[in-house]
This record gives sequence, structure tokens and C-alpha cells, in this order.
Amino acid sequence: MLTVNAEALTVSIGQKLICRDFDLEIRAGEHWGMLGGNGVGKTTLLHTLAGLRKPVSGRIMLDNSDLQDYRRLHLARKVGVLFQDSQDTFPATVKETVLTGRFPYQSFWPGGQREDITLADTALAQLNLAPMQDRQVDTLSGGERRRLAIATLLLQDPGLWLLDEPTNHLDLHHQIQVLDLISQRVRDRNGALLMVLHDVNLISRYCSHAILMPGQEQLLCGEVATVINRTNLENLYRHPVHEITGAGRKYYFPA
Amino acid sequence: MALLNVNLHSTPRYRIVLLFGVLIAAAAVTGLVSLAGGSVPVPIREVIDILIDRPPGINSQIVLDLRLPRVISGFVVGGMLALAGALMQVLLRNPLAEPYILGVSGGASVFALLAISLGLAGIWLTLGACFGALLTMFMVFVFSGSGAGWNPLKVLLTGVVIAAGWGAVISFLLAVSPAAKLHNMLFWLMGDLSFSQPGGSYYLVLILAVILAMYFSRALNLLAVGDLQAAALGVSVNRLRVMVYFLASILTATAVIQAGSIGFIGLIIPHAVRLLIGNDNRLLLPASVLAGGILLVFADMLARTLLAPRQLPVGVLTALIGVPVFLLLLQSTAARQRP
Repeated sequence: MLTVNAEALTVSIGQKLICRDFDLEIRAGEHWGMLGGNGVGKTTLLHTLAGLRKPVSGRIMLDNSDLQDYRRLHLARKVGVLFQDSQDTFPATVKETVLTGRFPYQSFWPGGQREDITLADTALAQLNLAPMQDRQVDTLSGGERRRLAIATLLLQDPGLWLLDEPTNHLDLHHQIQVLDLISQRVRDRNGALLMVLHDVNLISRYCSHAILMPGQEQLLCGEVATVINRTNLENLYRHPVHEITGAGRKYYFPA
Repeated sequence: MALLNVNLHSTPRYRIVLLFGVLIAAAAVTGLVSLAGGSVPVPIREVIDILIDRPPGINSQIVLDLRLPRVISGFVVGGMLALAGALMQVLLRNPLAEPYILGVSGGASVFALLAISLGLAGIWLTLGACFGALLTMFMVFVFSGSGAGWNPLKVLLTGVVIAAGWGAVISFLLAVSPAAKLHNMLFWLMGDLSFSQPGGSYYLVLILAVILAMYFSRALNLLAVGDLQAAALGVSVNRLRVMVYFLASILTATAVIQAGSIGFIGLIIPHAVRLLIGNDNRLLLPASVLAGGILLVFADMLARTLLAPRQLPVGVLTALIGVPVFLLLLQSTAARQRP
């Protein structure tokens, strides 16, 4: 049973404090959404939870062991990250790139293990990338690259999914398709998910819990039903927000 | 898009074996031709007999004692430079990176020239070059703050600045040296295999380096995608970087000590191989070693024979052969990318 516990976490970037003595518990089956204005430290907090940067103080426990005590390779089987963007100085093909998701499971010389290739084919098909599997990554569009990164994460198959703006560059259809696919996978695996999104309506559609980051070291955590409301959103974005109800859900949009 | 569609997940095994078979065969043929050619031509059939039977005789001495060490040294140095270049390109995430970019060869040259200007030769030259290369390696590492955390751009800038500094010292040494020593110095700077010490265990450095590089190759593929991405997939990025940095630097230093600074191979061979078979380091690194070795042995043979008995600096020929071949490759891949 996967659990993540942040205990008295203090995180900063440069001189800027992002959170102070922050406690958070993420349990299997929970889907967390993270909302906040530009530059409040959402990505930094996400990377800290992924063990990619050290907190100033406090610790993060993953299944009762400190994140910093994990071996990198072992951690990569438990925690997967979707980054905002990727580099391609020396691009590989789509198929080669998606197969990098199996790195944490492969031995020194994997060659082309059949199971891995089956997994890759499935993931590419699920994300409508199969026809371009032999293309170089640098010839893909922004949305196609995004889906490629998500396919890679599907192959990595972690328990805890940390996603930094997964819907970036995606059209409406792919936004829903991708988030459906990921939520289903997280549920099947009995894992947990934490994603940064700028669309509050997608968060209320896909998440059970939310973290709101209005800045000045404040973090507001809780179930979506309690933390996501007009007052909190207006406070978060410093912009008036309208609320309407339809199809049994509350929707928010800027005034 | 690479010219040959080779990858480890879908290309049949026999085609990959064939590719490396062709490269190894090309290396053997180049080696044989190179043993045969020179100011005293020896027929290839006789070269083969000499290699197998080792009969006494003047031709046998020429082939076994004069040419064979030089051919081996050429292959090893070429392979080292190509491997170091390919590693540097991934490490600095910069397609323009090459073995000499961080000043390792500049440092080696300064101390080798100092040795020459002091009238020293042989082992002192080697020791001087060795000291200069190691000194530079540590200087770049320390001044770029890479002990604490690696920043490719900072390493690159530090290396380029230190290389420029060594360049100035080299010019100074050349300016104040007496004419009698200048020819020797210039030859050293342009790179030449006639300096290479026979025997020695420098080829062990290459063998060890290839094994290590192959061990790192999967992780290096991830490093090319991005530091954080690599770390999230399970690579210990900083440790890998430090190890690859020292590996590439030691390869460069060993090559420079053997043959001075032979330009071009370390930049062009990895790119030519990338154009041919793509960027997967598991294939790119070993193929670069073979291709680099072939080019240098071939260039050295031309350097010995074109104006025989005069010898040309081999660096001139690596560039003269490499430039047109590379441009042709670039053209044909560009042509394939057009719809």
C-alpha cells in the first residue's frame, strides 16, 4: 500500500521560501491536483516530492523510508515524473525514447526485450503515436511530444505519479483522453497521483484532493469539495471568478 | 533520420553484427594496406606472410618493427579521440564539443613544448604532456565548481577559457623559441604518429575505456534527454557525469601524449557515425572507436606515402579526408529528410 508522507517540509528555491513546516499525506487511490499562480513554486515542490531536490529541512517518507535513502534506480520504479519540457540535442526516434521508460527495470545490456517492446507498442497505440514510431523526436509537434512523454511514463509504471502540467500543448480531445488513461492506470495499480494543472475544472473532474498555493509560503490542502470554491480561487489568482453549476458539477471561469 | 535504419529494438541482430563486421573488416583492410604502403612498398601478399610466419629479412623488419607499431598506435589514438569526442558531446550536451575543447590538449602541448625548448626529449616529452593534460583536467573540474554540481555550460566556458589561455602560452613559446627547435614544435602541435612510443600499454586504456563507455551507454542515452529526466528514470546523474568527464579526459590525454593534437577526428567521426546509424550510444560509441581508428590509420598511411620520403602532418590529412566525406554524408541525410 503506497503512502507518501511529507513531514515538516521546508522548501526553497534561491532566496525564495516556498513552504515552511508543511505536512502532507498522500495515500494510495488519491488523486491530488496542484493549483497556483506562475512562479509560486509548484514545480519546485513537485521535484522535491520526487526526490530530485533536497528540502531545506524536514523529510519525505515513501512507504516508511526516507526518499533520500532510496537508490535512484529503485526510486524510479516507485516514483515517476512528467516534466514540463524535454531537450533533444541528440534526438532519438519515438520508439527508442518511449523505451527509455523501461530503464529502471532493465539489466546492463537489454537488447530489445520482447515484453518491453510489447509494452511500448501498447503505450504508443494508446496515445495515438503508433504511426510515428520511427520519426525523430525533434520532428514532433508540441502535443505529440507531450503524449510521447506520457507514453514513456506509462512504461515506467510507477506507483506515485507526479505530473507537471500534463495537458500542456494538448488539444481538448487529447487532454481528456490522456487524463482518463492516466487516472485509470493509477487506479488499476492502486497508486497515487499529484498533478500541477492550470485548469481548475480539470482538477475537479479528475482529483479527489487539491493543494492550493496562493504564495507567501501558504499552502491550502484538502479534499476538492472543501478547498475548491469561489473565495479560495479568487484569493489564489487575485482575479474575480464566476461559478456555475451544470451536469452535477461546479465550474469556474474568470470574470 | 540516420542514413541506415539501425536500432536495437527492431533491427534484426544479424544486421547489427553485419554492420560491425563491415567496420572490423574495413579496419583490417586499412591496416594491411597501411602496412604495405610507404617509402618501401611491400606487396600485400607478402605482408600477410610476414604477419603469419615472421620470416627474417629487411621487409619483415620494416613491416613488423617500423610500420606495425605505428598502425596499431594510429588505430588506438584514432579510436580514443573518436570515443572521447562522442562522450564529450553527450556530456556537454553540445554537438560542437570535441576532445580538445576543454583545453586538455592545450595543457599537454604547453608542457611538451617546454620540454622541447629545454632540449629534453623522449620520456620527458611524454611526462610533460601527461602533466599538462592532468593539470588541465583538474583545473577545469575545480574552476567550474563541478565537485558540487555539474553545469554543462559552466564546464564548457571554463574549458574554453583555459584552452584559450594555453593557446596564448603556446604562441608565446613559439615566438621566443630559436628557429632550430620550431620545426619540431610545430610538428608536435599539428599531431604526428612518429612520436608514438612503441610497446607501452596505452592500448589497454582504450580497451578499458570502451568497456566502461559501454557500461555507461544506456544511462548516457537518458542524459541526452535531460538531467532531471535521467534522474527521474533512475540515473545517478552527477556520479555518471564525473566519471564520464574523467574517462573522456584521460582518453584525450593518452591520445595527445601518443600523437600530439590530431584535430578533426574527435569532432567529425562521432557526427559521421550519428548520421549513419543514429544517436543510440550503445551503437554509436563502439562504432565511433572503429571508424576513428580506420580514419587515422588511413590518413597516416597517406601522410607517409603521398610526398615520400617526406612526411606530412597526419592532422592535415584527417581533415582533408574527413571534410568531403562528412559533407557528402550530411548532404545525403538531408536529401532523405526532404519529402
